[in-house]
Amino acid sequence: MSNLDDIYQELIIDHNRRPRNYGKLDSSSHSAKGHNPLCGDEVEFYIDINENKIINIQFTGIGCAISKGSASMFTEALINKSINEVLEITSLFKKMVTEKDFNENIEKLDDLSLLSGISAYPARVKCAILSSHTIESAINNDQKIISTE
Amino acid sequence: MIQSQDIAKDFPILQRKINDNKLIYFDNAATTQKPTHVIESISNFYSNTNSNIHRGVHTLSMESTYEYDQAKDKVAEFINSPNSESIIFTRGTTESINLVAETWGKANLDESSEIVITELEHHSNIVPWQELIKETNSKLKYIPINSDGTLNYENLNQIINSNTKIVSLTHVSNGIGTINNIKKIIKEAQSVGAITLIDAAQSAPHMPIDVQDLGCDFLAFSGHKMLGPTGIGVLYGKKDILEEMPAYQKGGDMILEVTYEKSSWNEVPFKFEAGTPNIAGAIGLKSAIDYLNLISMDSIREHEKELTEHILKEMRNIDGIDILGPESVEDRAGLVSFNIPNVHPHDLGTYLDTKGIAIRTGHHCAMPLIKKLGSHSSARASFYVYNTKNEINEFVTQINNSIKYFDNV
Repeated sequence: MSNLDDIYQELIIDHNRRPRNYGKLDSSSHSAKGHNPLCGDEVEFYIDINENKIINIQFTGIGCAISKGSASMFTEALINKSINEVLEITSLFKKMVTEKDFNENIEKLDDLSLLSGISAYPARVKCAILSSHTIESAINNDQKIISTE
Repeated sequence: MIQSQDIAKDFPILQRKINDNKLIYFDNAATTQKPTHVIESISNFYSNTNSNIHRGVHTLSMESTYEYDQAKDKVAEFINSPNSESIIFTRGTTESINLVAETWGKANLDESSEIVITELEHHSNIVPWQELIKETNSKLKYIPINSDGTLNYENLNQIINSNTKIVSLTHVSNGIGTINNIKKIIKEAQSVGAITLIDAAQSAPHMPIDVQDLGCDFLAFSGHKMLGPTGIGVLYGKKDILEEMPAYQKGGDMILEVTYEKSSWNEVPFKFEAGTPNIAGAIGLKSAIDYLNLISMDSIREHEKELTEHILKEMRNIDGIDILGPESVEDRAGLVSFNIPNVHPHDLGTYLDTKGIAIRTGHHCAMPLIKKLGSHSSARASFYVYNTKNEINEFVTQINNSIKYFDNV
């Protein structure tokens, strides 16, 4: 572990302190809960999909700066994206935070690319990955609680 | 007064730098570091004595058997067991508790039986009983806690009643540090003829234990939490109870006679130690006890009380801090579990790691307890013989720095 700022980028901390799109969405077509039993982090995404496109996305939950910050950043990254684009982003994101030699083009990830430093912190990867798993589950309407374990 | 700075010199790992800072190891409730004395005893065993025990007539086997038996005698003396036959070597506290649930539990419980544990337990003293009640149709009851994390003793004589067959509880809470009045509970259990099991994983390493004075029927602890190696632990059991109990695992070393048709079991404690045991682990544990005895368990308790008093005083100055567990150091082991506003325990843990400080974050394998206290997780600092007040001062400074960091990045 070298530099704390590699993982806690300013924007991530900002999203943690002032989460965007936070709160339950009354009318959402899709939703899912995620849970990291090891640390107690919980997140729930509410997604409104119309004509194969996310027209609204919000979240609630408790967790560390990485899990809450990334959830907030995801809501900004995924709004107005088609389902195919969303799944491309979540899968690219998962690769970025888990693969050591990852060197794909991450332009599509926009601000989420700031979380790339996590891959050097194996103990914290689960904090980052919870949201992407939960969003995928919501879109697929799995009806099951996502667990990182 | 313990000279912890001198003691720390006996621990090679404490000389290590983590992220360019000298390691401050505050995760002792999870596992403790090992002094050279223990490391060398294990290495000496493999270099000079290694052999299987209890069955060879050659020199190495006799020497290994002697050392293994010596380790058992040492453990017996450490907890004032009336004899060495009451000492069973296991993999650790978890296996010790499972052994009692699997053998004594299955043989003695039925649908009219009640098992009593407390709301403070580690998962290892919850899950084996939850499984056992499914198989025996018995009931599981909990002694509740007060908001300060101490046990509520008020309705003890209703919770522990004539249906109670076993009371199994922790001596010291690994999650928040509460020291339970186990003598009071053992007395209550005895008054209704129930068996008692004490989880001493967090107490045996830190304070004197006397099983005869306590009067418990079983007591379990782990070697690695008291300067010994991982993979070795202890189950103490009263000999007459052990003799009545069915065997645990079946195989070599636990048998008296085997024919193709049937087998008979070896004597206590060997009937509970099937297969080649962790010989090197037992020898390492003996060395750890020798080392602890040199310092004295009374002094260790005093040292940890002083450290805890110091850290509580310093931490209470942190704005908005929530310290879980009892206020008085008389009711609390050398362990502080806490939450600070706006810095999640995981973020604090990562921050402190960059400063070379190791703490535990999460639910500490006591999920229901942390939930009951209104949290999802906490940060936990836990101390041992080699920790100092200077380390605590550095720790508190870095907590304050982390608050600024996560506020201002």
